Amino acid sequence: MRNARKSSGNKLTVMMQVRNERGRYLEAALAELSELADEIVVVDDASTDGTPELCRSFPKVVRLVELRRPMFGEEWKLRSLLWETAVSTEPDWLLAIDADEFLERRAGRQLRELIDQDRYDWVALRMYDFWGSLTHYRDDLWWNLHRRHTMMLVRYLPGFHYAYPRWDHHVPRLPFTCAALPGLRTELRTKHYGWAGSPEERAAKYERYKAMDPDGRWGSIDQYESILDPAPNLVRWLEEE
Amino acid sequence: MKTTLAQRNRPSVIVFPDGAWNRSPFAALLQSIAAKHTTGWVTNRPDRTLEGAPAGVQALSPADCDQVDWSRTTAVALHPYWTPFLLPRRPRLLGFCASGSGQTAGSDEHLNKWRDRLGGEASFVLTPSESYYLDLSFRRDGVFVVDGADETSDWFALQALMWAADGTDPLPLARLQQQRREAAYRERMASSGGSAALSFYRSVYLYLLGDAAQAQKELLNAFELSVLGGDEQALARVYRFRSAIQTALGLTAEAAMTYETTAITEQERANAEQLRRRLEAGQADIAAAMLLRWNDDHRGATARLERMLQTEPIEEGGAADQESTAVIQEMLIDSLLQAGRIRQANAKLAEWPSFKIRDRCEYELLRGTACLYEGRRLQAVRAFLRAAELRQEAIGALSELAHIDAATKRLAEGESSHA
Repeated sequence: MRNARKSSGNKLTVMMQVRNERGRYLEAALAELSELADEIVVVDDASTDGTPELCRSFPKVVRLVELRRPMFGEEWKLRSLLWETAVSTEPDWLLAIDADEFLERRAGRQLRELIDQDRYDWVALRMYDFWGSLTHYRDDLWWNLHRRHTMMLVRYLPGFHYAYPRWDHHVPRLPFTCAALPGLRTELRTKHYGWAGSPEERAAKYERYKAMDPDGRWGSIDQYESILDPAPNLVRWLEEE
Repeated sequence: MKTTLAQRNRPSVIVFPDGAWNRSPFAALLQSIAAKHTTGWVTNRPDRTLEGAPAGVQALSPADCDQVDWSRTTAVALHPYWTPFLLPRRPRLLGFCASGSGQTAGSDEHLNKWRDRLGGEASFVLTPSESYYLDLSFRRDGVFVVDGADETSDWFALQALMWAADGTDPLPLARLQQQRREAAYRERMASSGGSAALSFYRSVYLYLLGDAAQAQKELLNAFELSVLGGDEQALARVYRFRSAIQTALGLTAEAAMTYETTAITEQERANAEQLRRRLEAGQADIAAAMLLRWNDDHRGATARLERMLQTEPIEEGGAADQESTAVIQEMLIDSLLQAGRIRQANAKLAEWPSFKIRDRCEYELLRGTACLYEGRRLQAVRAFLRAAELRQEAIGALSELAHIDAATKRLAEGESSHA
């Protein structure tokens, strides 16, 4: 009978859900994660731009689930499918990351140290939303995720009750029941490039959110509107070595 | 004007009070008994303690109790300090009406210990506190709650007292009350939309009723709601109970894994390591008993350990067999003591001549208390003295005895047990 928590030799599996990511950050993300992780699991939410082929070109992508119809409208199902697929690789730890998210270099270097211990079962980092460039992040009333911690890394404990809230949108990336386990909140940072593109790309995302959640049932209408803010407060990113 | 002992009929129920009738939280229940049965009330001061009592309630002095035919009389104790007075008399049934919650703070350091002791030795226990009721239900059978939360549930508690007054063991009613309470939680969840607490309590009742599969389902629901509600203790307070449920389902390896998942402190981690070693050695039954004990289910653990001893060859076999027998015996004794069943623990130790007593002083205290329960006060005092020779602090057992004697006298005078 194996120990539930190992303090060395832990296997790390990355779990990622993607949709039409070709030509954006996916290739760079998979290249970087291939250096950090033992295996990568991807669920493709019915991409039409060849994203699965790009994923397959990375040997560390050991599981790729291709959905024919998008499940993003029932996000909890999508998250659950990704989770089930990821744990089928028998990991010791899972890193939940999106195709447009990058661990800062310092975090990448410390990853093994973070998981090779037997005291805590999740690690939370600070997530920074880059805005309009890869040099500045946004920091204001509506865009301040970095002031809190985001759980990204969890130990897989076979038999534990993992559950996602049955929400259609804005479902947490990891089962919320992980929060009951002992965890570590670090000052390590993650860069989110999802808003780093052009104003046109942000406007398109704004339209998508408004169409998906017109009444603000799953998110905040004010935050959706703030996407169009012509002069948001931007702060220069300094990479810590 | 109350009747005297010579004038009255033989009482079928005798109450050992915790003060005056009109201040007892159990007066309404006792009134129902008094309406049907001749009821005795132990006191030296009927003028002080029986004001407001029905006319049929008769005063008895503690000395009068020597004339009672206890084989035909049910005793109802409202205060645990009556234990050394009552147990040697061997009433046909002994009910303990325990007021308040299980643990009380305050000036009387011995009260909780004696509450646990009478709670273990009485034929049945009745309490207005659901938390104490559930705590006791994990230690013994025959526990009733009367908390006003559900009319039918309270009716079962009243019936338990009525049955006991008739001389019938109310044990079967305890399960019926548990069934009713589980149903009441289900109804409350349906009408209120549910909550972590309601789901958790329902899960506990389902477990007590033996429906482990449903208990697990409800517990996981409670766990999810607890985490969503930001309960930082959800892992230990809610989720760990799953290991008891899985044990009941016969899934000991899974239960051990669940326990290990919740093991945070050094002691808990050592426990998890011990479970792993037992499972690797093929001793799943020992691991199962450990899991029940670490979930405070001493009732379940005791039953399981008793069964194991019936099948384990005692004092036979190799060192491994002897080691496992010793572990089973040790766990059984401890679970009996946790359940307040001192007489049974003492009887077991007498049955096992080769049992290695780890703490001779504790053993003498146990023997002394068992002697006290049997009415052998002199032997009890000698055992306490032997304990004090081994460890100075044990002299406290003698002063405790004097404290209880004095408290019992005060109770008979209609005063508080506190000096």
